[in-house]
Amino acid sequence: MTIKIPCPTCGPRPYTEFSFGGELRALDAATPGEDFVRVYLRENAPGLQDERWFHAFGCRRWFGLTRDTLTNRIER
Amino acid sequence: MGSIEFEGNRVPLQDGDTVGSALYRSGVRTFTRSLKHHRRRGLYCLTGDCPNCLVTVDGQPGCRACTTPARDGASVRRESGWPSTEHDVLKITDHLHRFMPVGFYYKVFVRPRWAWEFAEKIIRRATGIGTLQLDRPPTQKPSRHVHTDVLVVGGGPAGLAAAKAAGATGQRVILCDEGTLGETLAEGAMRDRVAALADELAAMDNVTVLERHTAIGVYDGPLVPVVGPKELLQIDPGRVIVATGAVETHAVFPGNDLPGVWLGRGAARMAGVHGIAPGNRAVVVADSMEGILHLGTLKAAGVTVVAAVVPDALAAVVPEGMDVLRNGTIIAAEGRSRLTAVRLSTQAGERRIECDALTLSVGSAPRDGLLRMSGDLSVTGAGEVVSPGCTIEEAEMSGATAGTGGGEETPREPDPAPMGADGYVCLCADVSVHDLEAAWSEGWRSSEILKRYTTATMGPCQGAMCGRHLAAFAAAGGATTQAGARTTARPPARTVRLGDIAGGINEIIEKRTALHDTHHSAGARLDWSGSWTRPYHYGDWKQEYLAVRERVSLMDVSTLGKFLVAGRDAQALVDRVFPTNVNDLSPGRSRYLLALDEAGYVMDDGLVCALPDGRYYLTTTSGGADKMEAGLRNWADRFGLRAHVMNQTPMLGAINVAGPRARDLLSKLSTDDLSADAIRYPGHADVTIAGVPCRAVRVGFVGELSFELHHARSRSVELWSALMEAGAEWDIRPHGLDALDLLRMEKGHFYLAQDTLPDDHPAKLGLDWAIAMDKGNFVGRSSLERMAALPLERKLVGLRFDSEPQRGVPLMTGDQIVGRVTSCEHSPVLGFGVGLGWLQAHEGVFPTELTANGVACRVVSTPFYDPEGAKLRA
Amino acid sequence: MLEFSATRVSVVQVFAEPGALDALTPAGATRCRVAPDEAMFVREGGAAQALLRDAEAVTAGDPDALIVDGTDGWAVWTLGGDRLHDALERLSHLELDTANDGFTQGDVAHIPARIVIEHGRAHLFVAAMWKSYLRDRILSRCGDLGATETTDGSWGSR
Repeated sequence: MTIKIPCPTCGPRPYTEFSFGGELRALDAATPGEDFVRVYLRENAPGLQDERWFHAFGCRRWFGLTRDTLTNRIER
Repeated sequence: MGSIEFEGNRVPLQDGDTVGSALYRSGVRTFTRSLKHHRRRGLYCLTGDCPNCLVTVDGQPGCRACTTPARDGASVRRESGWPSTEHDVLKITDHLHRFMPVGFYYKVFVRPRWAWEFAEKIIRRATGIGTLQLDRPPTQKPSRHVHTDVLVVGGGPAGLAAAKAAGATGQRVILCDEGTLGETLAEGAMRDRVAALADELAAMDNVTVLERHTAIGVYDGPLVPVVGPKELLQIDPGRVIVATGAVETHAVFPGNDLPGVWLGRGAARMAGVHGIAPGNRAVVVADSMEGILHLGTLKAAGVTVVAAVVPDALAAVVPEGMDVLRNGTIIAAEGRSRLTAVRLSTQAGERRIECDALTLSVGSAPRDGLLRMSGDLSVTGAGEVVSPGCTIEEAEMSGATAGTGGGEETPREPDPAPMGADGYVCLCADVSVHDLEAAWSEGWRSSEILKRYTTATMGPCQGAMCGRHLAAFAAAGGATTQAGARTTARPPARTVRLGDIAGGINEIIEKRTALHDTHHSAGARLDWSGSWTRPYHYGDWKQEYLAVRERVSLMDVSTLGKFLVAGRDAQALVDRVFPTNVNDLSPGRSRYLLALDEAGYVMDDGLVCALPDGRYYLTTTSGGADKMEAGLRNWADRFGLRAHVMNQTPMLGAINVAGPRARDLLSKLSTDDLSADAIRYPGHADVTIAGVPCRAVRVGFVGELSFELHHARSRSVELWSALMEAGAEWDIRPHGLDALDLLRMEKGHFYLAQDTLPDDHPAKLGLDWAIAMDKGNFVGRSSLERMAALPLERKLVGLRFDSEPQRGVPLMTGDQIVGRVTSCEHSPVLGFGVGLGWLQAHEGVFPTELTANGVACRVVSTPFYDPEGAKLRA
Repeated sequence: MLEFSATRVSVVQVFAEPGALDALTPAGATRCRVAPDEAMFVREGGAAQALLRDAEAVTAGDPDALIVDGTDGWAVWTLGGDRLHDALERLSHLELDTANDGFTQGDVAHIPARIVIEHGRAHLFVAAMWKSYLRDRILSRCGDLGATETTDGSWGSR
């Protein structure tokens, strides 16, 4: 219900203060096929995941973090 | 001492009475009827764990009689059974087990289907625990957020010692207990220790003890909601120490639910705290020293212990004069409406002992729901919850260790409780050993599935009594480790009323423009539009519509998203994000703006205005403002561009002045050049209107000459009033969203999300012209290129209805559904119905002659009104 | 007792490089560091022009600086009295120290807020369109704390 997300500016806050930006994805791809994967498909794998978060209720800035999707532990 | 009113009778109270003790003293033995079989159930645990004593107190159903303090004048009712709990004709169901097998619901009412409608009414009346009083106003408790370093749940020796140790380190400590400290304890060493520790805590300023405060769950974070008598506390602790202790093990044997069968601590509390004998002749089963101590407590209350059933090791410590049965096990309890005898197997063979009380101290079942709810490392256990059967000294030691943060104690599971040939495993939902066996033989072979099929562990006790039995049953049957594990613990761990957690549900977040009161005074019907309240009309939307088409009108468009983009990379950011060409846009010019996501789908639209110094001013739809700010910042961050994005939505008001007389009106109030040469369409200029500095933006949404006046929010009222006053000569009237709907439809403009779908790329909306494929990369470009190679299977089209327009209905060609009408209205100035709708290709082509709800319509090009745009460019 | 009032303030918002923001200390203003590249400066009502001048002086010549008079974008409700801490616990999950001056931003009654604590009072800054919403919440959540609306909202010490 309220895992805490460490905002680099505002400190740890309940996740309800944030917008989840999803998995970190590449900005472009070399081939149309890879681009299709980049745009439409997600890893959604259990374990460590690089993510984007937006602190909508605070500084309104984006940052990245690595979360273990099995335990909700924030690794960095 | 006062009294309570119980089903029409006056029941006197004594000091320290609970509802349960007062009723028991007055002779009440049957407190409830069981859920399915309507068996009599009486006081059993006296610790608020079991479901046997749920009664209605002062209209509040589901109160545990055993822990609810008796208040003078309170009114108490039993809840189950018909016509009454005492005389329940539905007890017949107890003899109909054969016809009510486990999974009854799933098996019996499948066919005929119509039978369920009747059966449900009967079943709902026959079952259930308590009746909500629907004529009462809903209650809400205020909610408060509390921060502390350490939260201790449970005020027994372990919890108190933990709070003391944590408090001694100077940390802020909160200890909560669902009762008052020591209230369940009879005189003795335990009660003395609790009292001593409580006194020590009372002297510590940094330790707060909250009595009658129930922790109902532990969420990740951790966050612990705690329900108190007057408020809900949402406690945000650095760490949580769960010291909720244990309930005595629920033993399963035939007749184990008869009134007169007690958990040892329950009987001891009745005898030692309330001074009431829990029976005249008691058989006491005790596997621990605590159980031996109960013997003295019972005797002191006048109970004759007819047999003490103890293991060899404890035989020597049984008080003299009591009949000791070594290593006996219970075969069954006998009796119809209450316990009359116990059959035991002993070394000397089977024995039947007549008695009216059977007390059970056969082990500890840790109350570990809170501990198991959270995977959070900062939640640890102390005392009996992790170390079942520990002594008072061990509990205190465990608490002290946890309190100082020293090491986590690995929870130790108690020995599995014995299960007899039959008997009730789950008291809440009336699930017997026999029922579990039936479910098992039907193939439900894991604890989680058995739980769902039989509803065991799903009642008010949330598995406190039966959770381990269920897992042990599955494991004994041969389930794998995982399938034989205990079921997942989830909040709420304790009974919670909806009113306790409903605080704030009626808090609806409303955004208002600076002109809210102005609209209200003008008689506007204000209602929700997204998160804003906005005027839908001011009395007559058709007159408002005509004012725009024929004369001049105002609309409050302060809700539009408004953004300033600045910094050395401002242009690069706008260029890289949007499919619109901005590099050739000189200050004073504007251009239609589409916002795409990476999949090329349209997320929002608006306008981009080029400002001096390489800055840009963007407007978006009212609903898109928050996303636009986040989106631009995300891309700036990802692309490494140094640009500042400022959301000016809150600080700027905007009023659209629209209609053929718009320029005439503004000219009355301004000395600035407002001619088509000075502010070309599409373009903008900074002007002063009625003394208010404005950015005047030429827009075309309603299809008439229009100036959107963006201005400081604090001056909205003044500007609006000046415009209304000056417009009187043209019979100016403001228009609301109702008029706007038709105005934009006549221009063929869609409403995002009303006329569009989440996977609409520009080609589907006929917006190819707004995409500059000749520019460099932009967000969504690669996806648009990919989709351009695919045939268009669906598109948004303009629809003309020559008779009654049809809204929200399927579009048909012949008997084939090929689309849907998304917007539709009769146009007074055009004389026919205009609409927008989805159309699918049918056999490779987009049909043009359609029917909607039997009415003919045809696909026509848009805009319907002023297709050349001469009016809006005027 | 809990007193609350709408307070007139002047707000200037500055977006610039972190270093430039560090150097910026307009006279008599409360400085709120919103993000590494954004700061908010607050003074009493009617002082926006002076604040703008101070801010522009320091960031002059920085093509990346964006300085905006944001006064109209904010509604400020000021809370004070001996129930202040209780009121803040009702309104927000944020841990707020009412004994010391400070700046925090986060969720207050489900909306984003910037909170300035000065001289034992809490100023809740919310986007202007939520002015009446937040007033409703102060009344509905803190009514039993004796919330009383006064008209003498003022910035600074009293």
